[in-house]
Amino acid sequence: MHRVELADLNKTFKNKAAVKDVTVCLEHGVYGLLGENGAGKTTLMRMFCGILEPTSGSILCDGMPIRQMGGDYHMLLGYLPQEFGYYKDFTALRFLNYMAALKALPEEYARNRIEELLELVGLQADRKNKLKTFSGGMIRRIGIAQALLNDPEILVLDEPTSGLDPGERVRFRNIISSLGKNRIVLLSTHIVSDVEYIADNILLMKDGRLIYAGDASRMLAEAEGCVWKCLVPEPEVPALEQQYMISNLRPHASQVELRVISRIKPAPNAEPAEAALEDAYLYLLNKMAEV
Amino acid sequence: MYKKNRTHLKINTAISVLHMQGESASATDDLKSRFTAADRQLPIDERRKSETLALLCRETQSRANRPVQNKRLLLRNLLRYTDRSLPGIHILCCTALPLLLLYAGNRDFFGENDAAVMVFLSMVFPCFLTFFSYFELRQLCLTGIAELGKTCFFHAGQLAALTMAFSGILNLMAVSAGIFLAGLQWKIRLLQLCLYVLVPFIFMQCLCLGCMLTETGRRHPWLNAALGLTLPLCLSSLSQSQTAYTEAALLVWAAALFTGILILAAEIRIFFIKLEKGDILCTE
Repeated sequence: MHRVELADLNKTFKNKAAVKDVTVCLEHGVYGLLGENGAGKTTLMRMFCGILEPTSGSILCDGMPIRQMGGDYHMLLGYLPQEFGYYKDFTALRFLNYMAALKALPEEYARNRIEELLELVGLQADRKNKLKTFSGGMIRRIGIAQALLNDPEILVLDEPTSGLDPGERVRFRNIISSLGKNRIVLLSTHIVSDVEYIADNILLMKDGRLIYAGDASRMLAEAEGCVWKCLVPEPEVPALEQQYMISNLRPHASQVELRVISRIKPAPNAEPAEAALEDAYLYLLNKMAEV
Repeated sequence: MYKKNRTHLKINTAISVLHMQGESASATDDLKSRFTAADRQLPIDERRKSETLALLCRETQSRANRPVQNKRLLLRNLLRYTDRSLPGIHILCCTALPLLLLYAGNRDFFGENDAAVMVFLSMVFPCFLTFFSYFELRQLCLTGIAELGKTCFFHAGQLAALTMAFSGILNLMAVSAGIFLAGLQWKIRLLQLCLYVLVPFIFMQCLCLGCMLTETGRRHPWLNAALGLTLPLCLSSLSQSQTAYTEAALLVWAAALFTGILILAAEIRIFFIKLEKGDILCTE
């Protein structure tokens, strides 16, 4: 099992700082990377994979800088980018064979592994179809298959479940969860429930900074007492929306049921509610904004 | 452990006693049975047994997917599955250039200005071929394939170098053939003709690679095409000028070639540095 340490990591594009002073240590398990669009998740993942060079700071795998490890680090790595490149005229089988060749996998091993993975991602029947005929979900599945080709010990998945239907999402969540037992899995997503189900640890990013790193229960504890449920007349909703962070809004007869994230009681009839991970996520993001 | 040591101690004592007594084969059998009995008493930790088995399985698996070390085999595997459509068109175009010049030369196609037109064509065609090279490079670097490749054994730099070397060799072969065929028509020194053809070729490379180096150029492929069209237009006006092809202007042509080579070398260096840093691959 490996240990990857990110120390004082910074990345600046021209004058814009995409990642600021990120320090975190990853050991085996599933790490869910959460954050808004433009928070720096993809940049962080690209640096983690050695695709982008950090402006400053270091990434160490088992105490050794990944730049120095070069190919040895890549052999441990499986990566699925948010939008991955492929040749549209390739069949699924040829694409996986091409990726296996890029990963320098032995032919015999690659052949067996590709069959296993095509079955795992449910694309065995489409193995000889061209990628240009694939739907978004199928492309995502082939992307997951290529990331697993070398049975990586460090798996980095950028939005792995986007574009998948609910059934596929659940299946992949289970696959990812089982993979995290003896390897590092770092996955970024917008879907908080995905992280809730499979991640052992949560990393939360905002404006390039890592604002939270820890398990889900501690994250929930942070939002304890800050989640409220209340029924308000419809005309009052816009004012409350301006004043507070509303995590859910549901029409209820002539009134509206609101789920409010706030340190103070938002309405006289508001009742405290049990915090869900999504509430905690919004609470932490909002808390940072207030700071 | 204590139990095991005690059993072995007992056996050792038995051996020494047997030796002392000088017993024969039957005693050896007795010893064997005692050893077997002692082994049976050794407790096997099932947890540790399964852990060891898992470790062995993992080790076997990690050996199975260990990278191929044979470089020829690596390259063969890569070439077997790599995309061949664009390089195929490129090869066709490279073959077409000399054939076209040969055909035009044989048929006296351009009349009186035959030689001048052929030289012009052998200046413009390499520019056109350069487009292909950079289109191949763009496809590799800017469509996300190289980003994936950067996390593989063959990294982006090696893939880009392979693409550039392949298309560069093809272009040079086509250019050489063009120079040779144009040389047959226009009776001037070969070195002089080389200068006329290589200068636009090198500058076209500089323009295309320059586009790849800038964020704007990477975002807008049409910019590359627009610059590419400008160069043949400039060449066309240059070919009208009588003084441009005089012996006196040779020094200017040589200086231009030298400058072009220097610029191109610098651009290639910057390109690979940027590729290594990920600046080119991570264009959103």
